[in-house]
Amino acid sequence: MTDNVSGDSPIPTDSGRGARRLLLGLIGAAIIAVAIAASLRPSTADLPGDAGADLRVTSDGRFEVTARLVELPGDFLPNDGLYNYAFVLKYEVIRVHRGDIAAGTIHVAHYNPRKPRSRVADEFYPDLGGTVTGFRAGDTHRLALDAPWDEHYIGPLVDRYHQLSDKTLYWSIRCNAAHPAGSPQGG
Amino acid sequence: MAVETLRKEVVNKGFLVASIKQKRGDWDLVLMRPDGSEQRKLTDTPGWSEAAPRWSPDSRQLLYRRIKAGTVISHDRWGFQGELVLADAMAQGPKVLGKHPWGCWSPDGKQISSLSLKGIQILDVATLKVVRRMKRAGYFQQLFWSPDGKWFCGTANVGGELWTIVRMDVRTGEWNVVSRFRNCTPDWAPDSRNVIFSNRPANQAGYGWTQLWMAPGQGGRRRMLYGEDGRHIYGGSLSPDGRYVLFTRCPKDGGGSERDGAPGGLMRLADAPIIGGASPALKKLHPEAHDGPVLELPDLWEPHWTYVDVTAARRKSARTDDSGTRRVK
Repeated sequence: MTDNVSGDSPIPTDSGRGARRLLLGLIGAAIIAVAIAASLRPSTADLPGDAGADLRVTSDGRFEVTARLVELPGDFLPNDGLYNYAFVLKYEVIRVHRGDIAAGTIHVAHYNPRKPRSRVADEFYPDLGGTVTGFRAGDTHRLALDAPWDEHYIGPLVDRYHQLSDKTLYWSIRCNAAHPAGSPQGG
Repeated sequence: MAVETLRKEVVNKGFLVASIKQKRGDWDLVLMRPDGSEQRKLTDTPGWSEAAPRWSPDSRQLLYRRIKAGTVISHDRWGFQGELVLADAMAQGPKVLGKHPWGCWSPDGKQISSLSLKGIQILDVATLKVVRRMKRAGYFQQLFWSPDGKWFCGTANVGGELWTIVRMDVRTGEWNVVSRFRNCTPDWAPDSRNVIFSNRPANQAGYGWTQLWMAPGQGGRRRMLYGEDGRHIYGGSLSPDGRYVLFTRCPKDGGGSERDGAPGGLMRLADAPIIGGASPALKKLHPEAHDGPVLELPDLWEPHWTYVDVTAARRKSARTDDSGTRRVK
């Protein structure tokens, strides 16, 4: 009589059971990690296709995206009515609606970012607008954009990403809040 | 006494032209002696504000902007507002040239530079055709052509630093920084080697006060000409021989164009630096500064100076039925 060492034994050995538990554990951990990541970053599935859409954002400019505002790189300068400026913000593109924009990171210059978008248009830039009332890291925006930025804006530019010399900088024309499903996100 | 000496020194040195706010709300161009005397209106248009006048290098013509009355004139974006107007030296026979933002004379008065989203454009005055286009680099406002024709100066974004004074070689487009950090409203000294500009240095408590500074066009050591705690100094320009400095002293930031103008001032460049008022903090920073003399001028905005007797040219042209006034098509 010999020891049963056949690999097709219907009864798993102790060492085989341990390896399978380990494998299942790893798969479970991976699933949990993916779920956490997905909850932090809205996916296209979280957003209805018309989130933040209106007549202007879907037609103004040559580009239209839904994107998540990654961070606020420092404070906005005062906006006392005397000085006006544009401020560069970094976004992660969630969905491209119009124009040739690669998925990933984009940089967008917003005019006078302390002002609600509904009140940002002035004598010099009358076409700007949107529903966003303030900029907060993590918020999702539907943006109508144009490029190159300096063919659409001539004024002071606060660019705290200026060392990224190869970035494409977009000019924000319309900026609407785009709420992920079930999100309490404000404007 | 020192102020009176200064007044007598400058009173007969030609004329100033500046925008002065009228009680009815618009701005008109006003001619005056350099001490503010003998004021007379060159324009009287209730429906329009005339702003930022500049005589041509030969002082035979005047460029200014015409902005609809009721519009708040921006002290740093006025060049984008309204339209550019060409008239004779006494603002007679005005001809609207079009928008041409930041229109500025070439040294021979035959061309005008302009700064817009399209870049820097050089236009022929006679035909208004664009004869040259250049990239604007980081320039975003206040572009001025040097008297020798070799350079532009203006306010620009450079790297992450907004409000930087930049000089550009008109021939090659190459540029260099003149002054970094919170500068604006530059203008050329008559020698085309120095730039005068407003600067709000960081070494002040809180928001701080805007001062008048000067620096070599190639960059390097800049120096304060006039400062006063409690006043923002704008509208810096020099007399045709570079010996005197004009400016405005506004208690609120901005050059006063957003409101009713600001008291003008005139000083000798040789007396710089001068610190006005009590200004104890500023005097600590500049112990070498003088306290005057400064000749006070009326409330005005963006003054410009010629040593030419432009009133004599007007008398002559009146005798010849304005035939001496050059017109554009």
